[in-house]
Amino acid sequence: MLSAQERAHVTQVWDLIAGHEAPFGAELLLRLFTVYPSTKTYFKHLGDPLDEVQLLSHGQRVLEAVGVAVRHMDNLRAALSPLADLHAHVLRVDPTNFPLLIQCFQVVLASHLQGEYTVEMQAVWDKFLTALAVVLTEKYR
Amino acid sequence: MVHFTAEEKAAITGLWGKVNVEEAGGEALGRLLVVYPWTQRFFDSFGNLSSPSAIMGNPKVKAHGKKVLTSFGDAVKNMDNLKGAFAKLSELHCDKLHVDPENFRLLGNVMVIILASHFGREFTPELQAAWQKLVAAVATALAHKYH
Repeated sequence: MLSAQERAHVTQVWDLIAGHEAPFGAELLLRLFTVYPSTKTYFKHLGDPLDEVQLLSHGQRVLEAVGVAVRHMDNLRAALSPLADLHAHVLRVDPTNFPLLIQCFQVVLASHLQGEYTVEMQAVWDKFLTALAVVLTEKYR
Repeated sequence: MVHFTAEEKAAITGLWGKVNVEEAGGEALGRLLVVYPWTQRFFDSFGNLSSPSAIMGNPKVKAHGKKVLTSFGDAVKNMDNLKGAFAKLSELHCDKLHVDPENFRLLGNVMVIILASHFGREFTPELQAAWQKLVAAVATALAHKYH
């Protein structure tokens, strides 16, 4: 699904995020909730107003899962199977929310990498994250 | 009708004043064509779109991007009446250009990403929210006259 060059772009960007999963993840979620308030309905456990410690903790969890995906780009389905089960049977996040999260992910990447965020990186990460979302929602029905 | 608060308007116009419309326009359209290659379907007459660098360097892409973003400037000036401001353009995109309105949403999202890359940390979640609201409202206004 991803060419060798595309895979290189994925890891190149990931290397800049690795080690910073918590703050990246927290910013990702904060942007999601600020821009698309209806998404907060899935995260009542993060408190209202948002608890910063919980936000960092959950942000880390989300980004660590992305890290798993990066390490298993050749076999997302197997690597993310437990998470797919979770989303299908427990979380049941409506699939229309994943593009919203992906948009915020792109904004986080762009605002941190700025001029370094090339069009190739944007294209590959959009493709990669979209594929991730497909896998996470594949067992819904 | 979409309502923008005074804070949202200030945030939007404040940022817009610092945008190089010519450069950003070319970049926005170029990135749309690269990230979502199927959008190239509207630009058969633009010449070489065979690679990301060909697209980003294509003079017709840059010129058209500038045109699109200049028009977007009208949105910033008419936030209280987007449907009125874009009525004619809406008819054009439906009747002559035959553009699926989904493309307006895609371009709007790409524009927000470009603003984030230009302004970095200054592009706060609140600024992003105001801009996402604007690009969504413009997309809706552009689709309003479709029939």
